[in-house]
Amino acid sequence: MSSAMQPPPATPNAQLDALFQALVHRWKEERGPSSSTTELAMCPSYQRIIGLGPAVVPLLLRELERAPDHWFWALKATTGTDPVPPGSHPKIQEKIRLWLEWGRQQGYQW
Amino acid sequence: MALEQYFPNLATTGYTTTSAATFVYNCIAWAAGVTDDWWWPDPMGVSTWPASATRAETITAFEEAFQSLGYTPGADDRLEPGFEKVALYALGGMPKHAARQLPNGLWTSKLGELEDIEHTLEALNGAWYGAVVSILKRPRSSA
Repeated sequence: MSSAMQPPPATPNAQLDALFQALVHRWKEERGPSSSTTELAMCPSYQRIIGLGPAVVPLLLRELERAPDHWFWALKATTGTDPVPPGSHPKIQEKIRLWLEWGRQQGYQW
Repeated sequence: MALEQYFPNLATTGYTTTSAATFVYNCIAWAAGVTDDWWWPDPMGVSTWPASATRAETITAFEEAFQSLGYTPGADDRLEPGFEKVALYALGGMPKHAARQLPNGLWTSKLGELEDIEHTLEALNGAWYGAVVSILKRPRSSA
């Protein structure tokens, strides 16, 4: 497991938070009834969230905790790491637990 | 949004909603009998996929996933006593969806993060899932 690319911000700023919430809302409309992880991640709003860069990580972790959804791709893309041990095959709730634990260990606050 | 807006055929074929929406499992997992995980061979490697199946978004790879569960390709959509069937939908050669046949001859599907429904096979044809391109079967006793 690698560490974060840069020190985590203490708290997300309000402007970024508002943009993030708007993009999350739009993504949930764009994805429709798709079952494809790839299609979910390629939705324009999801791509814009990734494009917000490392600053969005605490917001992704907060969203993962309070309204769990498919944020693993975005977290992997924005942090450059994956807390899932290589060769292990955790199910979705365990992946959530691993990401939240990783975030706390890295000092993220959300 | 109502399901009929995604799948207009549902308005004429009818359907029954059998579960609430959840992000935890998707159609592939549901067709495989799994309700606590999301199966997809995404290139980022974030979703679960059977180890013995190719991790690729191809019809062959999806057939391999169900072959790992004892299914055999080349079946038709008829109800055969003693057999369980899975239908794969694709659009433009890209896998989009899987449905599992019920003992009453209808099919059960999880619609992305939306609800599970019972439906006819053609009810989900259209812009989101395309159409059925492969049906696999296995003896129901091996489930």
